[in-house]
Amino acid sequence: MSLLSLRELTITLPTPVGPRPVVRDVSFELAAHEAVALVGESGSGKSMTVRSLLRLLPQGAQVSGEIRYDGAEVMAMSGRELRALRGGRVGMVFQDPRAAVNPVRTIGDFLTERLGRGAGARARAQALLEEVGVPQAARRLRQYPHELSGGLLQRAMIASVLAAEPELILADEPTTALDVTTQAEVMALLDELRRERGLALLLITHDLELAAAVCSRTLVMYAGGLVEDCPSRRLHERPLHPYSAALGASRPDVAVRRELLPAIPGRPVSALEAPPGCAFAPRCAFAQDRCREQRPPLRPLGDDRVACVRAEELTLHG
Amino acid sequence: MSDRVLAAPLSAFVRRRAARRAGAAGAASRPPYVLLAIVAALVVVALAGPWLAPQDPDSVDLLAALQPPSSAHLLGTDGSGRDILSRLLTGARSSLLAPLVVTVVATLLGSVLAIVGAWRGGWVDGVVARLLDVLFSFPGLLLAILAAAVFGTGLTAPVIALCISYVPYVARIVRSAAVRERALPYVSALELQGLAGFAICARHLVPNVATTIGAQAAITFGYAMVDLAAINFLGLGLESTSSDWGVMVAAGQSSILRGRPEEALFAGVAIVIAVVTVNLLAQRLERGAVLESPR
Repeated sequence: MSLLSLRELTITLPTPVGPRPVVRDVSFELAAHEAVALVGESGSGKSMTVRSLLRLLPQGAQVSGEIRYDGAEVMAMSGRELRALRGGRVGMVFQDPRAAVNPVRTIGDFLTERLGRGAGARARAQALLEEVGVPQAARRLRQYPHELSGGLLQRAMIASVLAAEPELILADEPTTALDVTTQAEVMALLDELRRERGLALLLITHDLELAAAVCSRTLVMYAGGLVEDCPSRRLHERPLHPYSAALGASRPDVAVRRELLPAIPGRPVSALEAPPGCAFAPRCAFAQDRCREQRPPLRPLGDDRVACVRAEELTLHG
Repeated sequence: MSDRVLAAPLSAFVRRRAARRAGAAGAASRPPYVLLAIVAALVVVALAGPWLAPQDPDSVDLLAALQPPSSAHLLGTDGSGRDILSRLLTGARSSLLAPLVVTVVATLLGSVLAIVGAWRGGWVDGVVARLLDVLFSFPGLLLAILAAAVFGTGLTAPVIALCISYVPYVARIVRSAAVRERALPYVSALELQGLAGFAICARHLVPNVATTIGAQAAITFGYAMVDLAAINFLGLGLESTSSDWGVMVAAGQSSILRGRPEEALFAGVAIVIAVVTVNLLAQRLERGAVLESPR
């Protein structure tokens, strides 16, 4: 029984020229204790997908399809059920911790928001801060967000998520706003906490190596749709979709000296402007006429899933 | 060598400018003691006016009518020989209390409407916006005069009318601040912590737009005071024997022609001092709000 299951999730946003889809037919499942990465370029609909899991969508967004959490339909939840889900069973770590904390409240206020008032809540907050490796936790509780570094603030953010003892953590590029050295520390912390507590993790990232290091499975998104779903290790060795392969090829590799990194020609398109047929076809080195006619569905191939009509005939390398 | 010669006065100039700018910033961040002192004085007079008054504000002495300021009557006497200072002190209560009521009610109603609209968005916000548009289309003073004409004289009807007609002014400003605050990621983060909308508004959103609400309340007070003074001046509010400042301006008109402008003048000055002080305070609050607003 999967913890989270999405079936044909489509999100439509109102635009000046009428409603347009930003996420199209996304289906995947996430088991309890499983870590899954969601990768893709900016604007591919990763954040929108993850936000829809907690019904945190922009005004006027229309959702079709099914989002089930532990069997319950998220879109049909009452306010009370939704709050229980948000503050209890699912926690979310945001990209920019500085923006995600009320700047005029202390860290202590922020952490005890859900723990209630009193000395007990205070002690619990301090213990949580210590657990996420924040030194001088007692002093930090009295400080304001601007007095903490980005790394420390993101740790406090993780502590606030742990406070609710969730089963699933959604992490929306949790290290993008941090500098490189703290990125590794924060990610290691998140991974360690996840393993210790047996939490499920859905990690949005641009970083394929990070995805492979932390998550057993990787979902690749392009222009609002899933194009590949396979074990992270396999994605590196033998990707199934030309887009995954091209992404892999455009990473720098310290072992290989090259003048120029290979890049994917053209620019990433959002679901709003995706052409008919395969959204990646205009940029794909392997595209054929049939690719441009019909949008290829995400279909099972062996144990994995891929949205490419030529997946069987192509042999790609990461 | 020539570099150093040039550099010396330049650096001194830069230092002076920096110092001046720092000084200006320092002046701006110092609490406005003078304004606060005037407000405190007004509050004291409004509360204790009748006991502070040196003479009975209503004792008529026709033989001592229209006297210039003297040691017996510090601000002179009016056409009926009543002591102007005593009348100003006793009149402070109604002159300041009525605008205060308008301010408190309009600010509360306006803020609640604005925040509910900003928080819920969608059709709720639409309904609130249309409601405010309708209210905007009635000039406040006109509505108050109408209310006085329909319900008779006295301050109750005009105060209620002004309470309603100031709601959209407060709501418009507060709404825009609340919408901006609502869009900040930390509010979504709080939602995702499972907090109910009311708790987020009460504990985070309202405190963070409080400066805006305060500044708008102070501006409202100034307008309400002038409007109520105008209503009293026109004889639609309190009766003409009252010592309300607006009434006194009206009552003192006739004696201006007889060379004794004290009653109208001093009552007018009292109104101006109160309004200007509160408006300057509002300005300070507003500037603070602009400086403090994140990014």
